[in-house]
Amino acid sequence: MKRSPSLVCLFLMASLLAGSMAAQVSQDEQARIEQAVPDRPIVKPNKPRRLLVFNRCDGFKHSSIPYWDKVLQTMANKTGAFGVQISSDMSVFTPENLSGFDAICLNNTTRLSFNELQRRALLDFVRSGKGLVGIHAATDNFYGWDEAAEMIGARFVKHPWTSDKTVSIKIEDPDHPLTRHWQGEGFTVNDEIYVTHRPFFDRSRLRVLMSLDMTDPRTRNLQGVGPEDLDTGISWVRSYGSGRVFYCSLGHNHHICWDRNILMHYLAGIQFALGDLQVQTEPIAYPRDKRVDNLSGLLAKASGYDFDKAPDGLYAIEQAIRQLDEDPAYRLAAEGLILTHLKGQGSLAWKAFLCRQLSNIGTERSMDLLMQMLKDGQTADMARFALERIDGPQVRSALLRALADLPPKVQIGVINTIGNWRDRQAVVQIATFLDGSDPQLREAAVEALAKIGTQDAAKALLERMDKADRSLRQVIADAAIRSADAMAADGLTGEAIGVYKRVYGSDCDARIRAAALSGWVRMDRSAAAGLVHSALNSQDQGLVVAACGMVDLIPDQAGRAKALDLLPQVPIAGRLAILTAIARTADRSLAPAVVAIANSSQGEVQMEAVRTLGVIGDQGCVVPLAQIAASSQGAVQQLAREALVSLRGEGVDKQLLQELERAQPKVQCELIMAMEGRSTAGASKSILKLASSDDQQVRAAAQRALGQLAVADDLPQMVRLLWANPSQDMEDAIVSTCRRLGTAQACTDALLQVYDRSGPQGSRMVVLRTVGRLGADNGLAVLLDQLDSSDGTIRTEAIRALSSWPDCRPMDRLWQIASQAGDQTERVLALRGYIRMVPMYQATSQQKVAMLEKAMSTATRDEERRLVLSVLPDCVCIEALRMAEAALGQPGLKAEAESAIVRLAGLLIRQQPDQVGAILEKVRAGTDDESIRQRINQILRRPNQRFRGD
Amino acid sequence: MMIPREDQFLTRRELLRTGSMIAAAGLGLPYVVRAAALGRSGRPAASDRIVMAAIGTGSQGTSNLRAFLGFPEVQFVAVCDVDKRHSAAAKRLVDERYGNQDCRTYVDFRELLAKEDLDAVSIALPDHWHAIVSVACAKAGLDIYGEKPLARTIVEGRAICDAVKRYGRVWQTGSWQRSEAHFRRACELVINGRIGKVKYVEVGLPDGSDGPDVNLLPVPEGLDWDMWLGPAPYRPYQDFTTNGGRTIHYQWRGIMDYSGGQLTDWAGHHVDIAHWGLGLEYTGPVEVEGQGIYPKRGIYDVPKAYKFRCRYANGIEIIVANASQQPHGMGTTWYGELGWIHVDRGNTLVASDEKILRERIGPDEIHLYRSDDHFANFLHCVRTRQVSITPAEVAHRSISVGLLGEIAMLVGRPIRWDPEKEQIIGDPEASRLLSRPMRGPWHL
Repeated sequence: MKRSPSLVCLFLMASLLAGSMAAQVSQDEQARIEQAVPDRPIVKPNKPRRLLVFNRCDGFKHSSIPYWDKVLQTMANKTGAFGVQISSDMSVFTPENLSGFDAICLNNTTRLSFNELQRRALLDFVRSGKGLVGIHAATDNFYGWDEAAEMIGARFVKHPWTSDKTVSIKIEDPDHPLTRHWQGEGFTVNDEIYVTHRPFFDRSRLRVLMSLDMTDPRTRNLQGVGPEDLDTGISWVRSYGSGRVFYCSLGHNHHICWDRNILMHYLAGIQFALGDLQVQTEPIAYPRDKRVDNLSGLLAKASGYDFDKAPDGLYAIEQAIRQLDEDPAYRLAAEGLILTHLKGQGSLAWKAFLCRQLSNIGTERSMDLLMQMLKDGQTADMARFALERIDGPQVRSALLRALADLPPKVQIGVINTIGNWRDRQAVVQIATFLDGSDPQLREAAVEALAKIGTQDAAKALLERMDKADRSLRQVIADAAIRSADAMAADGLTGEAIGVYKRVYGSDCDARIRAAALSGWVRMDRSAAAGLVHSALNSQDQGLVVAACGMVDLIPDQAGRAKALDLLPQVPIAGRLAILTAIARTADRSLAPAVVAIANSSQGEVQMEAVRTLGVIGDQGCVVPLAQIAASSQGAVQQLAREALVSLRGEGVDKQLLQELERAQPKVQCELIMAMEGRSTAGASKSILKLASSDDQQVRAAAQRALGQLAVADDLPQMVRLLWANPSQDMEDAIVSTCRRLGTAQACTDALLQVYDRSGPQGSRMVVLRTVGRLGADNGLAVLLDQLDSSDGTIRTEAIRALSSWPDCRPMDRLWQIASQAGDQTERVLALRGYIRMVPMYQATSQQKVAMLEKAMSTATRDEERRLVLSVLPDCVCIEALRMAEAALGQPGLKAEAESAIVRLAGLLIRQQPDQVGAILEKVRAGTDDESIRQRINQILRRPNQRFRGD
Repeated sequence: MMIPREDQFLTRRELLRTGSMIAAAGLGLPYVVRAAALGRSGRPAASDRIVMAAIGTGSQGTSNLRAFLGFPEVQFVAVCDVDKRHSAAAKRLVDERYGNQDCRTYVDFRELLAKEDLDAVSIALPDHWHAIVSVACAKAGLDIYGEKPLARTIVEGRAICDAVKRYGRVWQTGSWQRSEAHFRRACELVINGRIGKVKYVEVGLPDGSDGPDVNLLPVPEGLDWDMWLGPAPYRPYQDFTTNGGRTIHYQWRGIMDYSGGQLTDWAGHHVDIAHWGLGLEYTGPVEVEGQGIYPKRGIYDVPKAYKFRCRYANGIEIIVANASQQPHGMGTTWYGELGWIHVDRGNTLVASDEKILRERIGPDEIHLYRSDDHFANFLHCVRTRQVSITPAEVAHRSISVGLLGEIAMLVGRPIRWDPEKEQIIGDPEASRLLSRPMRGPWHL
């Protein structure tokens, strides 16, 4: 050991060094430091104090070191709080040398290595009642010397907040002498910030004065900042033995050295360390926060919870915890509170609730307690609920370590959890359970390995697969497939295929081999054809059918076609599966083969083949499908028709048209229906030709299709055909077409042109009817004219047509007929038409009621009288109500009268409540109809309400 | 002759099926039985029938059972329920239908799967049970008619989809609205641009409510309470019948351990329809944010009122809320540049302009999957291996919207979602809620 030089030499050296380093600080900067250093000490020193400023670096040398030296010297000079001696010689650390000082300041020292004696000297120094101050990098020290790291309260881990970053700092202890000058207000600062973790940074030992404010997103959301860094202290004090420690992590950037508030902070800290400034050093366990107090109160109140108590108190706690996100430090505080309660007394229900909260917000801090709870069968599940969600490397290794010694029931749960994590480190240990004697544990282990799904896991499974008994073998094989799926998802294609192959080739049930085959085929499409074909030829029917469902996984057409060729030799279920698979491929090239199958099969297979053609077919399928439709019935026919409608591709409509000419009648019908369903453009001319076909079915189909397909210039021909061969289908087609195209007027012209008063009665009737249905203005004249026809049938048809006319111009003539015609039928028809038109008439409600009165008295049958009552509510006036009231007494009209009254009353009651009310009450008293009674009740209760249907 | 389950992937039915099997739905036909296929009793021969069991025969399960029993080509051989009262009632129904006493009952679905030789199952269980039972049935080689929502969490839903795909199973979700003509019509109009480019969509689902107060009672005779709980955290049996309420069989929906409430119960309906009309049924939103109002008392802890907004990569926004908060109330409303369309149950289909509703869809336009009977569609797909109208993946995507909304409301901040990787981006805490740890020994 070197003899330590005398103190004097030390001083000389120190001054020399100080001098040379101080030269790095510019004049201007020195002035700033001078300015910023407080004029006076915080307190007058009790006696002259000496501060040893140690600035040796065996690690990184901060450029701010000379600045801090300057700061401390300036402080000494200006305030007289202490005298400064600067050194970087490790030999200062002897009891004799240190005895001359009141405190040591580590100025950004790094990676110092202390021998045994020096260690003892430093520790004894502080413990004996002296002080230690640390600036910034002072905590980048004491590697391999935990005791000292614990003393100063930190050991550097990383600094995600680099020197260019600006962070927010919150004052945790605003009334403390060291922080008072900030008056509780946080501040931002641009500096490099160190992170340090447990066990050295421990709030149960340190009194943290300032910490990073993680509610500031800029501070929180930096890359490299993890959940474990959320509680990052900036400065703290503590007692150590009889001594005192102060540390502040600010001080990397030079400008910190002329920050007034920070320098004030340091001065106070130093005076505390020196023993002059008395301050609180008791640790504050958590950031002082009203929410923490609130949560604490809620927990205390609810701590008596058990299953038979109301859960209200629990909801309040959950609510409070849900607000945690705003402040991660609060979350840590909450976790601490929960742990405290969890350690204490309380029902299982309460503990389960607490564990549930930890599952949401817990960290590794909860791990120890939860691991303990795992050992007890009553609390194992709830603890594992939290542990599984907390996860993390420490939790995982703790669980693995503890696994072997847990009770078997708990072991199963833990193995399940490890499987859920897909913890790769666990494979070896889990695999040991595969050979155990407990079948439940074995099964759990198998499933866990399946989930972990690494190569090692698969290997462990496969090694045991063949040796296992039959039922276990299936379980293992299942698991192996599952792990192969996981490997495939992770991109380990070749390895996955290896496993699938093994299982496929093993002696397992067909369903398992099929699953393996499926995995293999999906992973190796180039081998798909060969694999599927050979499986289709297998002896094992189960495998055959499963393989049928994989035909769509064959990537090439030739392969698929070959599979399709094998269709006849597989069971029905397989044939259906192949067709379904083909449909999924949408591979048109296979359509001809499927056509062949459709033509040579029956029943289900034929139906599926037809359905498949609807999906993959093109124009080549038109004829086969039409033929099938024409020659079958029921389900097959229906499917074939639908397939024709859904065929895709431009050539299909062309093909349909082309085939139309030469096809047999039954097939023609199908083609026509298909075109109708597809709204095929340009088909109308060809179909029009067939509208006068000799074949009745073709004719009907063509005429119906025209309703959907005809274009404007087809109408004249259609009209001529209608006259020549009256039919309902053609009439409907004309009406549909006109509605679709909006050509009622032109079409009526055409109809008028063919109309011949001396023509056949059938033709005349149908034309009149059509004119009536079209309701175009230019049709009115002929209908009115034909009212005078000598042919009674024609007259009747004209009346019918006029009765449903879209406006009320025929009214007068209809009234004439209703009141004067000789024929009963004509009178009735005309009256009905008239009655319906009254609401359309331009007149006052009262006038319309008068007209309806006339109609009522003219009516000879109750049907017409009821019709009058049904249109009466369109005339909203009290007269209408009275008219309906008058009808109440007639038995055949009572129901309609009541209905009319109720409808009118709903609209009139506001205007004339008394009159209307009286009528309503009369009706209510006399009705048998419950719904009428209820409606009346509603109206009387709430006369202002509108009712549906009014 | 019954062949032992373990040795056969396909049941003897599959092996023996002949061509005389039942006619099928295809492009829109109801599932009809051809006269030629009927045996003397008016039903297909035993070897041709689809053999089924029902797992979960409470209210919805019984309703589905009745529907399936109406198909002569189906044969129910067993029912399973953790409440013996339910399975006894279901057995009575089945026996009555077939005029015998042959229907078997089970409490544990695992026993049912091990012992019975089935083709398909109908599942109707509380949401927290969906995944475990569905995956087990898929593994056992059964086709599945499963109730919505697909699963309680997104991770569970994905597990079901994976299992269904792995074992090549047919899955039909109980989202039967797709099999109603006016819903399909609405979606076809939207997807074929009849209201122009769609900007945003409103989905209205039922309001929530406060729940009854707690009332611990002894477990009723016949109910296996531990099995009912299954993977959900332990709590003692609670029943509200003495409060004028109903049994747990009707109350579970309001409790987060078992369900997400009306939101998750109905997302599989109207959100699914919203997706269908937009061609978004195989993807999901990229951002979700919203607010929920949670009960302060009573046993229910699912939101009473909820409203959240989902933004998709193509810019469309879907706003999901309880009906009281939506202008059109219940149902789906798409708003496009040329107008809007609103659709709901009870044949409700309205638009900003009547003309829109009369538009014809041409053969070269998009025609959506047509099904006229939801159960028939399932049975048809069991036969032909066709994909059903609401396969698992589609159900997963529609419930994912609801579940993401649930998460966003619980954490109280917007969450970003990657619909391809199915991950929440940059929010580890929200990500925790993508799954629920299961009570031992249950696992997926």
